[in-house]
Amino acid sequence: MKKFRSVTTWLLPVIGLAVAAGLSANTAQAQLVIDGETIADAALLSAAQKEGKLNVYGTWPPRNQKILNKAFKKDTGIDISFVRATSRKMFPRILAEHSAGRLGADFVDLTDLTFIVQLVQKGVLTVPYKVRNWDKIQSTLKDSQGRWYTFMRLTQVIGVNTAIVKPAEEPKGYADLLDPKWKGRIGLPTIDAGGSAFAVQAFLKEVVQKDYWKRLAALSPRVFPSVSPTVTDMVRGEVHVALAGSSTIINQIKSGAPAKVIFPKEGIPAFPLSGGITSSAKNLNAAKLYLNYITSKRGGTVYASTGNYGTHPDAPVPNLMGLKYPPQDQLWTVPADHWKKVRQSYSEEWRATFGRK
Amino acid sequence: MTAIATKAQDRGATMQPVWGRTVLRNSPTFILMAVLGVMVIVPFLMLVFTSLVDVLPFSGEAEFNFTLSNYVALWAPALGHAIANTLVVSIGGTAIAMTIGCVLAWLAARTDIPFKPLVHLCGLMPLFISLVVASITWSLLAAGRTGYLNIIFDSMGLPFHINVQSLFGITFVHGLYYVPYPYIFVYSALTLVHPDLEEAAAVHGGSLSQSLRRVTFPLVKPAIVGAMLLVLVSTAEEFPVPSILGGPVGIETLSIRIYELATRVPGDPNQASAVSILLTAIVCMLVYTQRKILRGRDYRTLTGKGIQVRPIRLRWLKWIAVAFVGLYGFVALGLPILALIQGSIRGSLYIPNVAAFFDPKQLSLEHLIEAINSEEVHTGLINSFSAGILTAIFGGTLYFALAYVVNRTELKGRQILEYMSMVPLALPALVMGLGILWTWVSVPLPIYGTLAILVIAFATRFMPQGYRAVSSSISQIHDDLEEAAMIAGASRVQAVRRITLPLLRGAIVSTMFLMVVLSMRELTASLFLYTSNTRVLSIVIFEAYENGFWTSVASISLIYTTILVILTLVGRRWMRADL
Repeated sequence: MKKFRSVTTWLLPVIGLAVAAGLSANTAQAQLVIDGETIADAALLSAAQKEGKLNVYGTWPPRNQKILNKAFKKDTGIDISFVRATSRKMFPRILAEHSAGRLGADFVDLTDLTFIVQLVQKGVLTVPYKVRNWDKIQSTLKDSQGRWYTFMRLTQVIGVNTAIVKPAEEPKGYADLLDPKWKGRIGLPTIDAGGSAFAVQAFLKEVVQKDYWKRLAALSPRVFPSVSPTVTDMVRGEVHVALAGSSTIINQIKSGAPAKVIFPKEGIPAFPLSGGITSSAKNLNAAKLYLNYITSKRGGTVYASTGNYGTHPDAPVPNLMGLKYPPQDQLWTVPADHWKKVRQSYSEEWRATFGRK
Repeated sequence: MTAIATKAQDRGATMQPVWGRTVLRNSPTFILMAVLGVMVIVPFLMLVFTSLVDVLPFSGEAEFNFTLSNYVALWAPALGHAIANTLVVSIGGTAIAMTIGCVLAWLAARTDIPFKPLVHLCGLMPLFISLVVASITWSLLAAGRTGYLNIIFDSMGLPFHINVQSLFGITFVHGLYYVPYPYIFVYSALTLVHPDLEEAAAVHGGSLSQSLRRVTFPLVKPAIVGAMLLVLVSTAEEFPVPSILGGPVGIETLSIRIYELATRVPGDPNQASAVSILLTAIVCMLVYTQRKILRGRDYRTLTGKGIQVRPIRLRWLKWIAVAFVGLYGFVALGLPILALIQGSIRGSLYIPNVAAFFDPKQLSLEHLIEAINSEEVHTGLINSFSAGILTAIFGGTLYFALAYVVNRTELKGRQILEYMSMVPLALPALVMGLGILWTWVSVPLPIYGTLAILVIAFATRFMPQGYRAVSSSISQIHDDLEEAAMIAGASRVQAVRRITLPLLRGAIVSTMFLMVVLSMRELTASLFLYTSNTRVLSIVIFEAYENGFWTSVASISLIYTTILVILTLVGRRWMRADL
């Protein structure tokens, strides 16, 4: 009996230590680490997992967002419920729900930085949160207090109908499109179509040529109300080249259309998908985890698989359909304050130049 | 003193029941006004308010200033041009739709035309093709050099091309796809016209055209005028057709202007609201004119006497009629459906020549099968049908109650109800969507974010169509039928249930069917109100369109058109009045 007690006296502490060690080992494992990159610490991960779900209002097509949601679920176990509308419809909806105290989203994203800035002013995006990779993200791609981030960029390119445009004739960049031979053959979405069209037009004016719009308008291009019909008419051969997003053109190529993506030599206008945690987030930790995830190298890898760029500098360059995507530093993105400053004046000038009232 | 007090009390006691009775008698009007108040007037007032201030409601702005600048800004020179274009496409479209719709309705309801179920299908089916899909399909068929029809014309050596990217094209597509409204209205009304009148005309030596002109059509005037009003305003307010067909060639209409004002960045939804308020004023004037046109006439031909419908014999005209129906069916349905089938089984939209239509390398059933098996499509279909059916039940009941009170009672305020029910017609989908969003997000009931909010939005948005459809038929049934029942001891509720409702079965079922289809097509209000649990099919289709997945758009449209065709054929026998 005595012997037994003596065994227990030393055994118990040993077991206790072992359990403690095991627990701490578990804690170490409970961090979210993918490919050597720590995306979230144990506390955030377990708190987020306890919440178990995340509500996102966003603008990315569900077909693509689904890929991200699946990866996020696999890596963290958290389900994302996603409501999608274009920025112009999502913005008033977010504001109305927020004002009525019924915002259903923990995280919102939009494609127009003017709207994002307004969401900050109107108290929707007021959660300052610095992600783990804060220092690695360019200052133009984040709010100074971390209330919003640009976490993905979508490239805008030149699309060509290869059944009509011969390889020798293909434009290498935007400046080539000002050749009179393109008169009546170019299609583009109106500047009012959304953030993507605005980014391209700002690039043409600020980087390619100051009077680019005037010279392009002189070639009587077809101006479409949105991106989709622009690309459709390019594929049909109604216009021969189009200014559009690479992913829309790639979708057509995948369906067998005779089309090609050309990355313009002047650089790539990339329009930002930006968002942040809402002030009324019910799943705050899940939202924080999501933000860390989409700004991580892992998140960037998922975005690359959809043909887009993440914000993490070490994230791989997209690689779709054997296309040679340019490195990240060739992307050109309008910074938020500049965007806000020139949005209205550019739009008005553009409408006047292209005869749109 | 006591005596006086007692007297006053007595008087109070005798007056109270009288007052109570008045309230009770008018209670249907009060209840309907309350319902319409929440559904229509609150969103409308929010838009009136929006048009008079410089910020948006529910936009987080605490301060606002009253201003008339939103109205002043409308008088830009560009507006005149937009109005002129709008008049062309809406008046032209209405003329085409009314002509085709009335002829089809008469053929189906009154004559011995062969293949009647097909006539019925031709009258209803254009409704199944959403205007977005119809416009895209027509631009594939007949826009520019690469339009399918133009490729065929070229291959046949014909020297001309059709171009639907023009004012003519917009008018034509409006005309083709608004046929179901006059068809449904006039068809329901014609089934309620007592055939004795036509026979009397024939007995007295009237020719077919005389009897049509002098007897039949004047009797269904409420239905014709109602449908005309609806089509005229809908085509003036309608956005997808001018945007898809006119957008690429710079044609501007009022609806495009409103859309741009509301959605452009930086946008001006306040101005868009002002345009909508002006449109509402115009619609109210039209409703007033309509009331004046129809006033002082009695359209009730369906009385207590029995009816035996004997179809009018068309004789040799029969085949001309069949050819007319066939041509319309082919142009409005055949061609677009062929284009949809092409779209769903071929990957690329690029078709250089006629041979390419049949190039087996380009054809595959993969996309169609993918759409059939897609979980997204299944959920969308289930949500859309649930919302559609619930809208049909809720809306059908409401519209019947409205039409009954307006047409069959002398209750005070019934005319106001009619105007209220027409307000949603004038409000462009986008602006109306905002109004509904603002209203219901602020109602502290668990409605926002559920399927119920979609049902309410649809029932509000399609109230003019639903109300008109029931109302035009109810005005044709003589009230002596109900009165006879009441004299025989039935209560009013019993009389309505046993007499009026069975007679109106055709009209009510057609209206409910219309509600299901319109709800399934509705997109704009849904975009403001859906959640991840209530994603409806129109959103799935719209997203596929936006991302350039034409094969998905075509496949899903085909699937749902097929389902609706089956429903129409199955439901056909309930759409007629049970005489």
